[in-house]
Amino acid sequence: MSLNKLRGKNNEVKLALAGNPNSGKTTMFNELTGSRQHVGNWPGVTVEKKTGRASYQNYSLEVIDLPGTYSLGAYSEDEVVARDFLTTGDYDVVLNIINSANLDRNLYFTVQLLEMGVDLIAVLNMADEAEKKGIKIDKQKLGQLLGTPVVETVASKGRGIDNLFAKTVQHRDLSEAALKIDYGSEVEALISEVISMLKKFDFTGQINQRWAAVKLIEHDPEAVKLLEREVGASKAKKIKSLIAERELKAEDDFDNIIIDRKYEFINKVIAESVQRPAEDQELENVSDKIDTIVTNKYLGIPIFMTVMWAIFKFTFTVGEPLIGYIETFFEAAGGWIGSLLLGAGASPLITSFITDGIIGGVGSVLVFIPNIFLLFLAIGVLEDSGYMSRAAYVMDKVMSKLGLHGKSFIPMIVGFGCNVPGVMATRTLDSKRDRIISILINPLMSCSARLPVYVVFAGALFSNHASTVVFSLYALGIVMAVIMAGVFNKILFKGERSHFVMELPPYRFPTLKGVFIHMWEKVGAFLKKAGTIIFSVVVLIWVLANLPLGVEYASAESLIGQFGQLIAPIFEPLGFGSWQAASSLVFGILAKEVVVGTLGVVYAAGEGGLRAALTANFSPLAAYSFLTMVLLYTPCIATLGAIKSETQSWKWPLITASYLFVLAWVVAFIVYQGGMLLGLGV
Amino acid sequence: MEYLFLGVLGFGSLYYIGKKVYGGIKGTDSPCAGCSDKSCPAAGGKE
Amino acid sequence: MPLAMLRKGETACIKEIIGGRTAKGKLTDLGFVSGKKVKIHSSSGGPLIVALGDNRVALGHGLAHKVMVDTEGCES
Repeated sequence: MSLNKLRGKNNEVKLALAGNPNSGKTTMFNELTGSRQHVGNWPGVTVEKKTGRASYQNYSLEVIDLPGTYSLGAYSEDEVVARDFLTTGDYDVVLNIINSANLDRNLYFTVQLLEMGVDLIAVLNMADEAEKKGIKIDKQKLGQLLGTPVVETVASKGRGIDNLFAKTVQHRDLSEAALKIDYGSEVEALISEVISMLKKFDFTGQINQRWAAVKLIEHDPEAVKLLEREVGASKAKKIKSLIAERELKAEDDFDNIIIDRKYEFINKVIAESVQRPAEDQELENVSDKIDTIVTNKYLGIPIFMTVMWAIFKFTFTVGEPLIGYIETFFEAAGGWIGSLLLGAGASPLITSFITDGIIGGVGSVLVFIPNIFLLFLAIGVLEDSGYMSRAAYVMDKVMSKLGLHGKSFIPMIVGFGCNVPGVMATRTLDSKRDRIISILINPLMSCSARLPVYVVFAGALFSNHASTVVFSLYALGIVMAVIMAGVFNKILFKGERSHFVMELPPYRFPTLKGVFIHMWEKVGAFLKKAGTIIFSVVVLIWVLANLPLGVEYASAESLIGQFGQLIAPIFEPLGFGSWQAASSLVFGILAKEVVVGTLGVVYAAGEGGLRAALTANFSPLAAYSFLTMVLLYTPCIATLGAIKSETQSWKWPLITASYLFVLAWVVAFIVYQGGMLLGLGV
Repeated sequence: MEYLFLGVLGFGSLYYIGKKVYGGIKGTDSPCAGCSDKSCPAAGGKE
Repeated sequence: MPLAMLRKGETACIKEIIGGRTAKGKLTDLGFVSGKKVKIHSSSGGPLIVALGDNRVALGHGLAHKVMVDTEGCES
């Protein structure tokens, strides 16, 4: 990265956002880009990459959100991605988002950026919280000491953003390349030696040599790799031996010296530019008070259960009436369009396509938008508020007894929304064994795509007890996850346990804007899914229901009927050996909502019609057994794909697909046959 | 006439589904709109 | 003594972080450095909740054993 770059070319400026987690970076990203965001992936790794666009005056800005990390060491994929981007990526300026109420920790990151020689703007975000704590920051002084422009903002309230944009597009002349911290005579001497060796070996890399030298002295593995790549193994070895030699003679580990000096520098900067109220006010703030209750030995878990139950209840109570409206709409629309088409003399085939196929198939899935939307809303709010880390803490005790790591908890909660990000969230676990177990049980966290299936069956066959039935399914999923975790623990390879360390950020009120953006994304994604894969499967099944030509629609003789009948026998002992049920389960592997879509098509339903069709074709016991199957069986292709990319192998997705199918079959068998024995049949 | 209609719809959807499934397994695309090796729009924030 | 042995409400000064690179790195990143004051907010079995200035961190026992502290307190 050249040090004297002018900001942007042709009024196009590329900004990178970097900073600690909990510094309001995401809020800032949302503020800058609004809804013009795109979530993707950093190539080659499974770390999320968010990019977006913004405009300011006549400038067009590309904003890249780097993963939030506490430092730029090489301990995790997140850090490596951030660092690589900063050394080799294409950007014009970095906005270092800092939590002003937590300067000493945040500056640790800032100092690392400065040592790299990055073109930086220090953004003192969350200025309102700092103010509340009585912290006063002298921006001028701070800017002087760090050698960067300093801007104050409150991203959650949109304050200071204009000023930030203005600073961003201003050209800056970077003559004094990078921050130099005095590491003491021993280390400084070594740094000079290493730099001259680097020069001798023609090490250019794309990074500032002093920084490279310091990293090598710290034994940073990524830096060593880079060195070996650039100058070859034998030359690299010379440098490494020199360092090792010096370290033996040194007073203390170089690591420790370097960290101590960094903190000394930070403390000095803070002492000169920040005023705090009396240090020994052990302010028991609101967050702490809440925490004493929420993390209490005895109350912690019951509170957690209550919160979960409340979310659940919320999704249902608020969702039901909304679903009702949409259902009525579709039924009416279906009827109206049907008669319109017939009146206009359209062929019965086309009419059937529209009413049975599209409205019956896709429509029956769209009806559930309220549920999906509310579920994600609840999960999002919970995460943004900061409660999730407390829940993980509370559950850690229980989970360790079951052989699971407390950090597995968050992926599980995410899995209730969708198993794909749930599987990806297992990245935070560092032990491979913990990760694999978490991945294997993640599909047992019933994802939102299965919800329409539960709701439609429960509504049709268990009307008054619908929400209890659905709740029991979620609970069953959790119970099975616990059991399977225990099983996998015993039979899988023994590995190291992960370190448990987690920041408990202060509680905060999720911002309306942030929540809204979340929702917009999720509903949009759901609609897109409905319009693409669900639509395609529905069309395919509808076609198969009409072939061979002349066959009665969706009869046992149609192609879909015959296909279903090939598979149905497997499900006989489970109480739902009909070809319709069988085919819906098969196609459900593409996407779980498709189970409803398929049934909608083959039973020629508009929503209201589907419920009637289900009542006619399933007994309550068979329905519950079917739902158990849907809960536990093979997850969708997207999830299997995610498992493959997270584990980098075919083995695990195959194992997941098979063990879950077997598990589901066995449990459904027990449910159905057991129920029959107890006289619950029919 | 009807054969044509059904044929187009049938092969069209089959092709599309096949493409998505293949992509899903490869990791470049997926039946779930917007998710592949990338993060699902349904993901929670960082971490 | 290791941080893991402190009880709820006790305060101490961090003297040293021991352990392998990864463990040390994680601890340092979150602010566990020599000279810092820590206070135990909770230690009811399971991970400890530790206060570092205004920050709260949940720390598993494994890592808590790698933070060596002195109950005498810190002199800057």
